[in-house]
Amino acid sequence: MIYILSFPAAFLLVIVFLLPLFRYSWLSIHASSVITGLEVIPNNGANWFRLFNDERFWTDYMQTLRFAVSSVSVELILAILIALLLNHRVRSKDLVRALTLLPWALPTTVMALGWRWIFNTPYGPIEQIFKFLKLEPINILSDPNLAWISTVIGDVWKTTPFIALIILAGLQTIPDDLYEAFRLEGGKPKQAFFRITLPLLKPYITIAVLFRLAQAFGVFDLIQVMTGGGPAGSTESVALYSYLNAMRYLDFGYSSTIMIASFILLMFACVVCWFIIYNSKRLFQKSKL
Amino acid sequence: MTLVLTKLGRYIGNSWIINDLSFEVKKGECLALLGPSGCGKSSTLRLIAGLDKPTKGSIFINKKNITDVSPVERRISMVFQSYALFPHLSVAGNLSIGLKIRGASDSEITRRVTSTLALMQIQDLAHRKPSELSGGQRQRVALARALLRDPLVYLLDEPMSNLDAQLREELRPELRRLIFHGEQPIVYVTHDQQEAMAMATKIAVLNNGKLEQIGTSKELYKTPNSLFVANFIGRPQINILSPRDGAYLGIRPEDIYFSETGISGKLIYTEWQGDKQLLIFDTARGKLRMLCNGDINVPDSCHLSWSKGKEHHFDKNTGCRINPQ
Amino acid sequence: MNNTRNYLCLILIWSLAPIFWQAYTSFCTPEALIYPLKNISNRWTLENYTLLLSSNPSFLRYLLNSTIVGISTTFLTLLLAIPAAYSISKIKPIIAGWVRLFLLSAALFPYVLLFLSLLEIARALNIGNNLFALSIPYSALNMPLALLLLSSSFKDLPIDLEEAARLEGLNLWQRLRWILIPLIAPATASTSILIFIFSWNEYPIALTWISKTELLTLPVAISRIAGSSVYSVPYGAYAAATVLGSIPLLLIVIIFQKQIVSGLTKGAVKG
Repeated sequence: MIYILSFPAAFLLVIVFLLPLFRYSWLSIHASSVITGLEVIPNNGANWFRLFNDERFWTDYMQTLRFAVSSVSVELILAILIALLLNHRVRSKDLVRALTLLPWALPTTVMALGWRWIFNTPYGPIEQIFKFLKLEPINILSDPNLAWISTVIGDVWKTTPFIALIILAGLQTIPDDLYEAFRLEGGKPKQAFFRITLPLLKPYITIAVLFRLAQAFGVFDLIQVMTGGGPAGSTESVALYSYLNAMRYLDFGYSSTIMIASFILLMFACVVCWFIIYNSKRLFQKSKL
Repeated sequence: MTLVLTKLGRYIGNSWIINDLSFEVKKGECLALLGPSGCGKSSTLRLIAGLDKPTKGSIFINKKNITDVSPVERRISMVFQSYALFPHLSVAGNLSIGLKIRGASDSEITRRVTSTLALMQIQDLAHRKPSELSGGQRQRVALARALLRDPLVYLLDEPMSNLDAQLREELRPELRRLIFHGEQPIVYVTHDQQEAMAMATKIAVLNNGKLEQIGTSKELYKTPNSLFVANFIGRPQINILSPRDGAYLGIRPEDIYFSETGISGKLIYTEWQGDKQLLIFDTARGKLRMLCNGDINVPDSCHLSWSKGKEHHFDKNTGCRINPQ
Repeated sequence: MNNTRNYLCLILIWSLAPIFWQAYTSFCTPEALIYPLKNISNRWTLENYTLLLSSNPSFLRYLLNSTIVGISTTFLTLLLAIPAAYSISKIKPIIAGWVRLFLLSAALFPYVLLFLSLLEIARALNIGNNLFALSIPYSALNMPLALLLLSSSFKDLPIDLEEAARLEGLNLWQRLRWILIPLIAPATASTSILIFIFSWNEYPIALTWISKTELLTLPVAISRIAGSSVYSVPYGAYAAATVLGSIPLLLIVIIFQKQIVSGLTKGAVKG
């Protein structure tokens, strides 16, 4: 009967996580906007037809995917390097770890604002450095082809510590004698990394990548504050688009459709990603060693 | 005071982990539950303590059926193998928490905790945390907590298995001094037959959740009821010779002696144990273990014999003892 | 070894330079920002901060609001999560696997997708513009992680301890109160810190639930500042805002880094 103890928490979880999914599914087959006077009226799947033909949605989807995949892969590589470094015996390791963790702990909006100033033209430091080196200023935030890179930089800066921490935890579970045994077998340090470290880190990498992929896919704070989705919509994410539909255009039916669709597409992306990591051993062995 | 189990059984998953277990522990008696790991001895203890519910059968303390009584109301003290000391409480806190919960007055708590600490000679440790104690000290605290309970029955679950051999021997007399003189029946779980023989007045050998035999250590050694008990009790292990006339023949290594009229054997192994030595011979009836005086120089081949009266016979199919007519 | 140290310095520069730049900017006069390399007499100023603190409402108000939300969320989450985690730790292994899978997917879920439905709930119950009400969705969003962390640390406790307590006569509530909850204190501490940081930083839900200026939480207040005049220069006041908004977290990270690290890694490893 102790299961009664979990009812309040379970109730809250159902209200906040499951109820919205049903509500969105239901709203997505109804019209509910300023045009209908916010009444909820069935519209025979018109939202879904609109979604399939909505170029802005699919552009946003690809942009979101571009953002998520590039930031997570950069983060993963950086994080592995940082974790390997921190795994060495270093003096004042705790302090170093705390300081590298700092970007993760700061509110996204705070540093999104900070990055906007760093990339500012003509007064930001990046611009100043370019000027100092007598290079052509690049004006990254207002170039539709480059602006997304600035958002990736912001995201990499903020969330690399999180992945690094998880990978570091993974590294610390690998006993030293494995490496010693490998060395006695005549293995080189580089081989040890690919033959021992990476395979044993796989569960940690999987969880970190899946988690980060899901979060990056829902990117909202960073983009809303840093670029507002601009310039020319070149950094707009699906979450931001759905937000604009609900809060600016007051079209709740279509906003819900976008959310359900992005949820399905995200699950699809996660399954693909999990599949890649799961089969990475075979892919890996084909390509190396 | 008595503890009685009648036809106790516990069914888990798809098997009986304890089946048809009945025994009685009388006033002041200490019963050792002995058996290999997984035989159900700890499960039996948990049933007596009330931590688990039996599927069938009943438990009586002082003739009162307590099968459906909650653990607290059974008034039982249990010493856990891990000691189960609360790591966030001091030694005194560990001793007093039960009293506090049961609503004893502050003065009574102080009086009883102090006297128990004194009895165990651990007054100095009262304010230490369990993590600051040595293994032996933790054991004493666990015992003190059990004593303080003033129970109707003591249950001890491998209380010394976490200690090193020397400490164990030191603690045995201490343990007996403290709790083995009272009125309460004691059930003592162990897998170590030496310890069982040292501590218990009676030993119950369990195998696969069933009681194989119950009796004094002498009875178990002299007249084992089954092949299992014969194999389990006595070190070095009894020799079991291949069946003849539908019965296994068992003969203890210490009952074998050299004799020109016996069967011939070739010495294949010696293990010197100080005053004794263990010899293993290859004979026509299989390998024979023999325990003899440590000073003898044993030739490579000799003749071995034993007296008819020392033989044990066990049924070939059931493994049960067959008493000679 | 020397190489390691150089690389570590590089990492630290990468992590800290943007923050230092904000701090530097916040003490600069507009002239200093426009002509960073020229030699100007009035380079340093505290005006950015005085401006921020004397505005109406004062910037400190937002810090206070975020603190209120953070503390009440932490409290509410623990209140619900501790008993639930205890009962989860007692579930049979097969069902527990499914519960964990559910919790893990909920923890992975990009919660920003939930904001519309949550906004509807807030409107229906008329609990928008209420800092304490904000802790209801927050604690739900933190619940999966809290349950995973706490239930695994309940499970890690030796079963003997609870049984010894049962034999001593402690009922369920007393066992939780006197034995089990004190013993999982380390896990509770790291969970609390993570919850607090999340609630302090949360943006989309606060953005949609809170519209009254004096109730804004810090992240929303910052974004309003950012939105007010996108291309205006100089940046000093904004930088001062980011610095003020970062200081509490800087302290938390330095003081509680052990708890944060153990919470994050256990959350990932156990899940």
